[in-house]
Amino acid sequence: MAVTILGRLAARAPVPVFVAMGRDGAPAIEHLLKSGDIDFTATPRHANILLVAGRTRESDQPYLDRLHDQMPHPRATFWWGDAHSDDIDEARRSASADDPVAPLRALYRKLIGGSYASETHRLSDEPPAPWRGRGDHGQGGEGMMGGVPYGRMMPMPPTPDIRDGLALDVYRTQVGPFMPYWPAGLILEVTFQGDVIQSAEVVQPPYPPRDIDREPFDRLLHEQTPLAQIERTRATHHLACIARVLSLVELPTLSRRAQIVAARIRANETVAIGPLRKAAARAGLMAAIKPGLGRIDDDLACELGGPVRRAAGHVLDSRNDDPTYTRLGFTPVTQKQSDCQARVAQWFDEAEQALALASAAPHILIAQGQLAEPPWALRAPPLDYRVTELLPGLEWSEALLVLNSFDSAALCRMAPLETP
Amino acid sequence: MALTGLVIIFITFFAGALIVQKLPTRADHHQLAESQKVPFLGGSSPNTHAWQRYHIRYYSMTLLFIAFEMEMMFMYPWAVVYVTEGVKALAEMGMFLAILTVGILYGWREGIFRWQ
Repeated sequence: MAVTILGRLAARAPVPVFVAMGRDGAPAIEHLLKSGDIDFTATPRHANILLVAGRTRESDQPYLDRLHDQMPHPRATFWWGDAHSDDIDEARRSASADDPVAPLRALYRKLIGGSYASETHRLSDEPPAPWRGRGDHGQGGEGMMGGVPYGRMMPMPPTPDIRDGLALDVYRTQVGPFMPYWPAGLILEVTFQGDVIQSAEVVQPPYPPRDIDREPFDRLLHEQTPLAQIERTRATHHLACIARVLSLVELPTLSRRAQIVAARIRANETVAIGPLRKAAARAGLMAAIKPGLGRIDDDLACELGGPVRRAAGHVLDSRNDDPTYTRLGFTPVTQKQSDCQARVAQWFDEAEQALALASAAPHILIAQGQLAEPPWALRAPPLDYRVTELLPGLEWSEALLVLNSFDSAALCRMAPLETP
Repeated sequence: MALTGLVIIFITFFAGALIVQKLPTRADHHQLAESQKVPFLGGSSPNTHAWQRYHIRYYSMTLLFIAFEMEMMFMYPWAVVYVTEGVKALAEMGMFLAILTVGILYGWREGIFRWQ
C-alpha cells in the first residue's frame, strides 16, 4: 500500500528526460520548455526516458543504443517526429505536429507504476575496451605501471605539450553526437593531454541547419514572402544559437528564457530581446567568454559569410542593396574582434535589428526569387579550413564555446566528413 | 563475561555490515550493464580502458609538495637528536636532502617553478 502511494507520488515528479537532438527536433524541445513539467538531464544516467527528437542518421543508431543502455531502469525511449518507424507502439512515439508533453508524462507514469516494462539493453553486455593485462588478474604486466598493458608501449603524446613542457600521456576518445551544449550530430575524435586538446578529427559532421530556419528562405525562391516572417526566422535562429552559449556558461535559466523567447517569436507574438540581453549581461555572459577566444582570420570570416563575416567587421549584407530594406533605413550591424564574444554580440544585435525590421514592416512582401540575406551562408560549399584546426591548445570548456559560437551551417562547412 | 559481550558485539556488527552490503544487490534486480559503467561521451564509447594513464595536471605540484613537506617532517625529530648524535646525524640529513634535491631538480627541469 505504502509502496503504491510512493510510486504514485514519484510518477508526479517532473519527467527526467535525456534529449538526443536529431534534425529538426527543436519544436519538440520548445513544447517541453513551455510546459515546465520536464526535467532535462545532463546525462542519460539521471534520466528514465530517452527522447529522440527529430530525424537521425542511420549511422547514429549505435550511439542512440549506447545512450539508451546508459539509462538506469526503469527506462523507455520516446520518438518524436514523423520519420520514425511504425513498428514502435503508440505510447512511445508522437508525430511532429503533436505536443509531446502529455504522452511523455503518460509513459513516465506507466514506467514508474510498473504497467510498462523497462526496456532491456540493446548492445551486448561487454566492456567496450577490456583491460588486457598480462598479469594473473589482468592487472597489467611487466615493469613499472603495468609495462605494456595493451600489447604496445605506453601511449605517448604525438606532439610536445604546449603548456608546461611535460611529456605525459594522452587520452584519445570520441565525443558526440548527442550531448547537451554540443552541435547535434557532430562526432569528433579528440586527443587530450590533461584537459588541453592536442588534436581533433571529424568522425561525423553535424546536422545541417534546421528546416524551420530554412523554410522561409527556400519558399522565397518560389513565391513572394513577408519580410516580417523572414526577419522573425532570423531572430529565432540567432536566439537558438545564443541559448546554446548561455547554457554553456552555466546560465541555464537564461538559456531556457532565450528558447522560450524564440518560440514566442516564431508564434508571431510581440517580444523584446532587450530585457534578455540585459539580464545576460548582468549575469556575466561576456565576462565568462575570454576575449580573443576562437578568433578567426579575415579570410576565413569572409569565406564563412553571414553573421560570422559581419562579426569580423565586414559590412557585407545583401539586404543593404535591397530597396525594400533601404526604405526601412536598414544598415548592417558589425563587430570588430571576430572572436566568440563578437559572434555572440553579433547574434544579439542582428536578432534585435530583425525584430525591429519585422515590426516596422509587418505587411511588406519580398518578391519571389529576390535574394534575402539568410541567417547563415546558405548553400555554400565546404571549406578547406577545418573547425578542428581551431581546437588544439584549448581547454575543453573553451573548445565547447568555440564550437557553439558558430551556427550549424558554418560548422557543417568547416566540418565535412573527410574522404579517405 | 566481558569477552563474550565483545564477541557478541563483534558478530552483530559483522553480520550487520554484511546485510547492509548485500541488501542493495538483492533489491536491485537489474545489475549494472557494461555500458552503464563507462563514462558518458554523448553516445560514443571510450577507446581505452579506464586504467589508461593520462596527464594529471596537479602531478608536478604534488611532487614539489612532497619534496618540501617530507623534508620538514623529517627535520623536526632530527633537530631533537642532532646534538646527541652529532656528525652522524648531519651526514644522514645531508644524504636525505640530496635525494630530495634530485626530485626538486627534476621538477625544475619539467617547469614546475614557471608561474602560469
